[in-house]
Amino acid sequence: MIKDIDLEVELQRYFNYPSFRTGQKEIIQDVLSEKDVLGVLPTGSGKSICYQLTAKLLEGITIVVSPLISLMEDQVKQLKATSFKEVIALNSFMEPKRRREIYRKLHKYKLIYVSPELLQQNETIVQLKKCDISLFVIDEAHCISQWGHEFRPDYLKLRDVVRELGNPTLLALSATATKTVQDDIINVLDRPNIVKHIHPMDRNNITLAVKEVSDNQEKQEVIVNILSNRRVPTLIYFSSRQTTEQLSMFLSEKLPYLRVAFYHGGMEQMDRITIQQQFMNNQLDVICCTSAFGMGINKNNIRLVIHYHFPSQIESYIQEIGRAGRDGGSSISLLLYSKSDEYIPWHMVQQELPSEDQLRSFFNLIENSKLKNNQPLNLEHISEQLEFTETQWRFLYYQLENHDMIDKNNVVLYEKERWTDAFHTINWLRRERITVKEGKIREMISWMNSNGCLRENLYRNFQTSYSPPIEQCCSNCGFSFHDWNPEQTTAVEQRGLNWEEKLKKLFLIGETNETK
Amino acid sequence: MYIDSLILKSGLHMQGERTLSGIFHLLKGKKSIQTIHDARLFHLENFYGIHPTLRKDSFNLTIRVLIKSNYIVLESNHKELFYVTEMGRKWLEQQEEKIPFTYYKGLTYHGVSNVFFERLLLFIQTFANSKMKNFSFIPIVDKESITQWVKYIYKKTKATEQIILSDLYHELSYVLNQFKTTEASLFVDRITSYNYYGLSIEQLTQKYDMSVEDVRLLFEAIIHRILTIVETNKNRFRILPVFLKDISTQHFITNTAKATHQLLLKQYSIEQIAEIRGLKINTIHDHLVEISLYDRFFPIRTYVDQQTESEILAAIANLNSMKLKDIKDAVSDDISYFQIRLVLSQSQIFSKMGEIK
Repeated sequence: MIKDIDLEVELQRYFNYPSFRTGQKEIIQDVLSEKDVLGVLPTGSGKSICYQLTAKLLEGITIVVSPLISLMEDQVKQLKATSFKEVIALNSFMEPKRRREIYRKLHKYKLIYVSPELLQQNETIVQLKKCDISLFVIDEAHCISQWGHEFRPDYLKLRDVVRELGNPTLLALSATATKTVQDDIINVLDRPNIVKHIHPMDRNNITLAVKEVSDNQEKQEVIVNILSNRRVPTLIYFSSRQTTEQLSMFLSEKLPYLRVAFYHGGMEQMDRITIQQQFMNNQLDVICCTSAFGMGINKNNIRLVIHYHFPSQIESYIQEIGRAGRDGGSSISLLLYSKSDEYIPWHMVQQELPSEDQLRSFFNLIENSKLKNNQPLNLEHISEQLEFTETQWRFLYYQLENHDMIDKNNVVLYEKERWTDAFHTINWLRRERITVKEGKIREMISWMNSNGCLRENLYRNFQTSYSPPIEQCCSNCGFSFHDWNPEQTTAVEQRGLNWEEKLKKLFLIGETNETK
Repeated sequence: MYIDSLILKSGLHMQGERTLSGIFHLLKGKKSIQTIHDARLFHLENFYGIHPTLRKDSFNLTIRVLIKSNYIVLESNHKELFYVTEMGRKWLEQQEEKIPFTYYKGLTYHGVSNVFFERLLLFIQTFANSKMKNFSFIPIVDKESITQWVKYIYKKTKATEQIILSDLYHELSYVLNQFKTTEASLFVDRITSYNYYGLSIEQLTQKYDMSVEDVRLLFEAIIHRILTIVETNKNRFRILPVFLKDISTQHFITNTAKATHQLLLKQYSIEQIAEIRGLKINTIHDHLVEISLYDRFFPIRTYVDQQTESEILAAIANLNSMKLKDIKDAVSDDISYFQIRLVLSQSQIFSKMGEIK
């Protein structure tokens, strides 16, 4: 029955899109005929439609595992706005009371987003098992792979979760998966017969530019120069919250006719929504942001993406520049870097994994307390005492679990004869992760410094070829900003109105036209 | 800077009687009996909880500046106590008209103001979009409690949405006309409507050339005044009072005290409540003191008779102290700590005490 559905009609009906983008339809068809699918689709190609439309069409429930809570919540908000109401996001930050309320009416939903941590809890599995699950989606599936740029230990357990839930159809999706990572996904999930839909990730409408400068001041001059006679939707990426604020202030002063704002994860929720939506709504021209911005943002006419700090891996870079030109129109990515930026990603890697000292202190602390009084230890307390960051702690915790060194009640199990071995194994794994990450940084730095075609080198590890660029190729192939004359956006100004007039306008007083 | 003036203004009321952290807790709205006591004792109820995002480090920084400017001095043998100097008082006088001190009604509206404002914002956005038949917009507020409330009101009133929107416009415009121009336009700038999102706090700071802290404090003041205008002229307004409905002031009270309060309203005795809830009598006493702080109609006579109250009051006046231990020692043995705390928690006692002093 399901095969006879005209997918275009359904797409129009539920999401108001006239046609599919590359790759979407084939994936949906395969999933509807109950085939497991691995889909690699470039950023901005509408990966989520692959399961959102499918969820509407399938009899049972669709579960989506996604690593980022904010991303899940953004998607839920957008779906609700398009009148897809039977959708919910479950995560471990919810109040238990609210979560239990949702569990009671779980069968009423068609699409359930779940964070990977929550799937580790027995209660979640028990509740989900009561439902008729048609499809299990693993979003950002590269997180499953040790070689992926965002390895998430929680993801390794998804195979068992899927089995527990009675092996529903599986859809693994990623925007950035090299061949190695793809193989890893298939191995870990143990689905050798999975149908692969791998699409090239190069974007022929984005011109790539890299510019080495001597210091931050020069970066600022370059940016001011580019923006001084161009009003186009622009994103500028930074590695720290503080610099987004500083540069936003600086640019507002230097370029007063441009509407500039900053965005980062430390802002209040209402202000975050405000800035995102003002940008969507053409009330802002430039956003200075951290990588927290952009996920789940569907603005299709971003013309310029600038990196003030370079990302610590090629995959992130590809993902971030992929927010430009989703409408297919010609766009530019500019990466600015000075040699002194190089310490930033090295430092970030150190923040992500525990140091050897921290690890040693942890093992000593547990051993001493076990030998002395065998009092149960508060793990969170230890994590604080040894100053673990959240990601450092997650790494260690997963390793403890994986070595059966922790029981269900969060009590560390101590065995004298295994203790030293365990330390060495975990320490070895730690070093290996660092090596992987450092390799990624080197890859990024070497790409930025390459003399050959930037496009060719950027996609080398992902695919064998790329399609010819629709306009300029890259800064190594002769692109210069002199040649860039993008169509400018017009700013509708509300300025000059006094508050009474403005209030009238906001309340649509005198507005008679009630349809769009 | 508003915060400097608020500290000096509060300081003038406290002169040498309280520590600087007393002011910090007051402005931040600490939910402690001591802080609320102080607010009432020093007639600073209106500043209670008007700056919930105040941080200790920035507060301390302000204090250091105030000391350096000789606006306040610390007492030499008790560094925690402080006085506002004559210079400080003069400076404050110059600030007086720049700052809407009189707008604040902290003890009444802290915690209420935010809910009121978020409901109002989302309501305007929803009704404006609905008028334009646009049903897919990203709500400016995404707190479940607020969205549920607006959804409920929307369903109930959809048929008359046009009239509601225009009535609300007239009411708001009437209210805002009682404000200074900058204040009214600051408020209007924050509003989100159809195809238009209002300014963030950060954007307001740029437009009005104020610090984040000042924008927050001014905004809080404006909302308190709006609430005051609405509540004192209830008959004038049809729509605005709706946004105040069911915001219980009870959310100041801890959940566990709330549970005790429910049982109390059902006429259970303290002993019965302790048994039902499986808690100690002392804990129930704590709850009752907490409830009595916020509930002006608390039936104190059930627990403290007239004579006992007079005895406790006399002791307080005599000692000129509110220390529980001192009071307990000064009254008859059969008067309990619980009774003393209840008497202390009643606001009218403090105005009386003010007269005594």
